[in-house]
Amino acid sequence: MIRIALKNLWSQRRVYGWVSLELIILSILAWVIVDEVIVRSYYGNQPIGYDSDRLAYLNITTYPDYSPKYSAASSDSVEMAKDFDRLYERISTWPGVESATIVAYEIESRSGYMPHLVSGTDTVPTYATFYLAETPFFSTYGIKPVDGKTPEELENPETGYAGLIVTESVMDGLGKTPQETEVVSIWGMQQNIAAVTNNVRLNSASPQNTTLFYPIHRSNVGLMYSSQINMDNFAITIRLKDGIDPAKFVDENRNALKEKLTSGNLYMSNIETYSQKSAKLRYNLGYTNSNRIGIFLAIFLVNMALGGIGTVWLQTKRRSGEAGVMKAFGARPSHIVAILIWEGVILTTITWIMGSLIFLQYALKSGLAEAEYFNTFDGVRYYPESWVTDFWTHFGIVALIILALMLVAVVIGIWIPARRIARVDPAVTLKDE
Amino acid sequence: MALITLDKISKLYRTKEIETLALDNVNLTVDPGEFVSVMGPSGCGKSTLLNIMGLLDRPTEGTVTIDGSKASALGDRELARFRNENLGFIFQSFHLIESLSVLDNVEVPLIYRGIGARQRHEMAKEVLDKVGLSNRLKHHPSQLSGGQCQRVAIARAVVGNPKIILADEPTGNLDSKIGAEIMNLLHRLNTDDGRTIVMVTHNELQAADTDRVVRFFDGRRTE
Repeated sequence: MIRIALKNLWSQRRVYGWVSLELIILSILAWVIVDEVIVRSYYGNQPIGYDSDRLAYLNITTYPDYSPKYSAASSDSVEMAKDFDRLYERISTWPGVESATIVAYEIESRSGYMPHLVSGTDTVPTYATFYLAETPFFSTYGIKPVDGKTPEELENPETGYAGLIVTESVMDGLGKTPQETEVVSIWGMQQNIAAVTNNVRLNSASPQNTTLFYPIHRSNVGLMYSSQINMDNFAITIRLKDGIDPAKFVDENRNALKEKLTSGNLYMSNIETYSQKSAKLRYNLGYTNSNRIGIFLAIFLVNMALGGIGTVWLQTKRRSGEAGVMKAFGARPSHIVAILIWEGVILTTITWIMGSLIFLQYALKSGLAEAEYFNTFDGVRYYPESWVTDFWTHFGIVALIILALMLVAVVIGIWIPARRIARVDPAVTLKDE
Repeated sequence: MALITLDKISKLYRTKEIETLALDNVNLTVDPGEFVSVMGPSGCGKSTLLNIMGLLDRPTEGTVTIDGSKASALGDRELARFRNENLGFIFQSFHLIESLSVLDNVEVPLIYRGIGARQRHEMAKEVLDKVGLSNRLKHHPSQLSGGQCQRVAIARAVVGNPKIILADEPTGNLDSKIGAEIMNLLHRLNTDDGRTIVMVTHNELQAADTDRVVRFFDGRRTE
């Protein structure tokens, strides 16, 4: 049967040449769209690694020196730290607030601070989130250690911030298990890894990555505020009490919070829920637009697929006379359908290989979908590793999915008319014109 | 005992607007080894009769019995097998599969019988040799003359060794000289191999050479 299908294809190669061209274009186009969709869906379905349900973010800003509310006396870093503490105390005791933490480059933030951790010959690039060590950072976010400790234990001065806290993916990058914590070099200083947490996503638009939780102690917080880290990157993250709707809380408390959360040169400029922040981030990163473009491309792809289905449909309908001959000489309807489908499968497989090889030339130069994650750190490997980060695994998986999609389209385009022509009495299809 | 029995066969074609009675209460028997010609003007129902006899079409009324088997009792699967084992068709316009070579075309009935490739090749080559086309095995139908195409069609019809050959105007598209060659082939199949042949024709001379002529007019048998 396969032999007959191959012979039929070869003998009708002129007709099938055009169909093949259409299928090759469909294959390449499918690569452009499907690869992106699959990778984004995969990353989008990764656990974010913390409990976002009842989180809200308070942006803390400083008055500029030309503002009438600006106080030169409060611009000192020590005073600024005290002001931050005051704001923190007020929000921590605010009705409806379960806990609060002070962070810089917080999770779900657009900006990032990316130090490298070095251990021996291994270098792991990380996204750093700084938090005030004396505030319940891990329990507010719901980030859990992997060694059975509770989030609260990470916040204990004796066990927690005796060093850096990193995600599992960092240890993976260092080639260590979560239990093999060690001293690493960061910014040229030796620091101890104190604990390891589950993997988190830097923000809802990104995959899980290598994250460093860097504790800032009250003793040097003023210095941090005014020097190494820009003030605009500090925020207060709060967890609301169980049963409180974050959107409602934000709406009802925004004005009161703006009025009360001000001290020295610091004031709360905005409050938003996790989902509001997440939506804004995705918009700012261009995901909203790229999703729209993706929808248009998907519609285009579906159109192309429908075109492909239509072409093979017509080609199959054209074969009714041949089906009549086959039936007259003993072919069952299932034989006829099987031969026609085999032809489609062979043609699809050949065109899929050709389309994939053409796309491979592009992919080898420009990378596959989400390739920026391979190159973010100038060739330094990205962790955690997954099928997406391994080029050939990634290529193979997406290629097979594209083959499956193409086969579905082509088989539908053949199967429906093939069943019809295989069921018609041969006398009808063989009737001489 | 008759090899083919058509009992009170009627065939009505219906479209939305028109009903056409192609065959009206036709009775016919064909004995084993007989060469029967079916004649009549265009549109009288000859080809319809042949299609029903060849189980390519179903009658609206009446029963077809071939070699003791009632066609109406056969399901799709049995019908396919029955056609494959007992019937060989020759059409006026050959109906060869353009994409296949001469050898492959002749092998078609054997494929559905589940015969292995090597044996198929041998059987197909043997019959192609008999019809004088052993030097055209790899050719495609488009590379052959009309007479050669019809010889390929005859080889395809007989390769599975069927008891009955049904030929629908087998010389209709051929000139008289080639037509005569084809008729010689059919007579040889009838006399030498003992095959039963039912042939639709417009040619009185060819019909006169057969065992019996059956005539039709307006869907009815007149002789």
